[in-house]
Amino acid sequence: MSNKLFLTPKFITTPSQNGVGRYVCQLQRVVLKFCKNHGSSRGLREFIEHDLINYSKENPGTVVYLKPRRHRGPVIVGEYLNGDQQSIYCRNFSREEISKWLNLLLSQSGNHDGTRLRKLWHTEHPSIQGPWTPYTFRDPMLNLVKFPNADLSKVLNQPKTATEQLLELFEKKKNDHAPKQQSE
Amino acid sequence: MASFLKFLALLPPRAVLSPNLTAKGIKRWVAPTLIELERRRKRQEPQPPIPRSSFLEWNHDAELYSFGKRLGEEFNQALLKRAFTHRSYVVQKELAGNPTDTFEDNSELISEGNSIILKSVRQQYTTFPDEIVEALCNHLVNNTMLAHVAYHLGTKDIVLTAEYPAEASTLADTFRAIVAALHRSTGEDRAHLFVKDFLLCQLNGKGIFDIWDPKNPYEVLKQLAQENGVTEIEARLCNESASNTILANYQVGLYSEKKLLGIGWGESIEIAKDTAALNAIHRIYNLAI
Amino acid sequence: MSWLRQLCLNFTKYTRISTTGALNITNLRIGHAFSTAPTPYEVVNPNENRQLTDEIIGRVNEEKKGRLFAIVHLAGKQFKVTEGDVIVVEGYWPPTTGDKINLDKVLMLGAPNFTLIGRPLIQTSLIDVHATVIEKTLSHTKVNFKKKRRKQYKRINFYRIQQTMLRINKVGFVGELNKPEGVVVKDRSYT
Repeated sequence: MSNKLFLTPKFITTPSQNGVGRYVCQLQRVVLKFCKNHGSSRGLREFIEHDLINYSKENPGTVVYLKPRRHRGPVIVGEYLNGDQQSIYCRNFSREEISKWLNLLLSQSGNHDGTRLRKLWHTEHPSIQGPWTPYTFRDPMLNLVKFPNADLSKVLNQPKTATEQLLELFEKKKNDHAPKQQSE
Repeated sequence: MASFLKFLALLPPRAVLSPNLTAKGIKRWVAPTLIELERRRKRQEPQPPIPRSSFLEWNHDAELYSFGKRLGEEFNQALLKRAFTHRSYVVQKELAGNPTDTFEDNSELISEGNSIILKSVRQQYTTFPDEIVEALCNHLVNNTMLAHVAYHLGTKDIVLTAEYPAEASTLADTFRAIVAALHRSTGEDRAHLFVKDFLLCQLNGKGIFDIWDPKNPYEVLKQLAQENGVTEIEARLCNESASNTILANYQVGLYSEKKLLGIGWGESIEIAKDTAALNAIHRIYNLAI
Repeated sequence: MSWLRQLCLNFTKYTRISTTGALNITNLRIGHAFSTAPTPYEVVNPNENRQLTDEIIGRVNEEKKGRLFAIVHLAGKQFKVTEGDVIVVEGYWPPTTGDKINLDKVLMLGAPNFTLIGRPLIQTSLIDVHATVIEKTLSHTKVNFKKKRRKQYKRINFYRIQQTMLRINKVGFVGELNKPEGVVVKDRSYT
């Protein structure tokens, strides 16, 4: 039950290393197309009447064009610096909704519709302390060793046999009893 | 269900209820119409791209103003306009007639801008040897890189040229002219900061050896060592593995007076020596870009 | 307070109540609301040889660090970040585009030659991690589909979550290990 088979998978890309030097708002221009009369454009017309001037004052880096078109639905077309275009058909949107979508266009860096991010991080330097090589924890002593070598040929991590364990217990008990006898 | 999800995935956000796509569904005639239109478009010759400046909704002065504001810089508007006006455009206008229009082209600004950019790049890397600084300049200050930067600043629609779309060299020249215009408007410091923020940041993610590729790193290191008074460089095999196979690798360390200069590995001992020499050069000059 | 009284009454079977009628608390063995385990403590040896520790700390402070990475805790998730990389924070997160942020919750800082492991965090006076918010978008449309079979129950919900992209501008090691600012170490003995 998922649409990820139909989305284009993409990695994170930033247009021209935005943010490394200074941050640049990626929305170049926005065209508001609306009908002067029809009710579906009412929200957009109200936005233009009340909120547009504040929007353009706060974002002088984005050019806003108004294009009244009769008998056509209201559309917001955003154009980004990397050439992407994003059009939002805003029929019957309220003034607040249009404001929210316009702010979203401002904060985006391109049109990401129909894409999904494969990873939520991107780095050019995945390893700082160096990736593991067979030599990372290799003892340099091994360079001078002559094989066959008795020490290096021993079996590693061998568990104690039952006989060894019993012997150990016996020794321990003997030591426990011995000081008592001495004290007595 | 799957086709519905596919359809949803490709939709723009929030219900797109156009007249062709109502709450009832897509009308029967929509798909065949679109297929036929696409067929006819393919049968035609490929059309030349339409310049954005030829649209109804275009205001050149507004675009120039927002260009400056978007970058966070105060430009002299006349200078900025001049920076975008290329020689080919001026010639075209003069040939078309209308002697009242006077345009200044940006040739002077281009050459000025080029020298400012080179100066900024060299200023940033004073501790590096000349060879490496030259390599960095060649990598950064060439038409491809400058055109890439200029494209992402949003110049492709604003630039005034005879041909559309503008070529890479034209865009690169536009960037040079913008830097010169900024230099003349606000001064040297702002211009250097501009170059640093937009051009030098393109080095992000790159290592010095992606840009500078010396032919004989071991010879370069020997020369460096002689200059710095280091006596003799001793190369020692630190580790090796799979020597008789295709995937052989050798790790060679370069030492001077028992102190490690650099370590590197390679498919053969010569390659490992070269890698170790590069590592040593990296450590000596602290070549972090 | 009635539960406490009940608790005490329940333990009358296991405790000896003195003739005065007051509860002898020292005899209560089980079922405390507080812990009676001895507090863990570490005896610091004042005569310990600190030569090796001091040498290592000195080397860390003097040598040039190189490129550093930090494991940063942000919005409930942890990211391994280094200078110049981009991370995406999902969900409601107020900082908007262009904001410069200091990332304070650093769990680990690593360099090519050493690593600082915080317990659980490293002091902010030692670390400097800056980031800039470069983008705020919505994710791809995600689907929440519920169905109970043979019960005529199915629900479908489409949602998109906010994604904030952060560019890490700097991961730096500031100050000196074991020499916090403004602290004058008078006497290292713990007797």
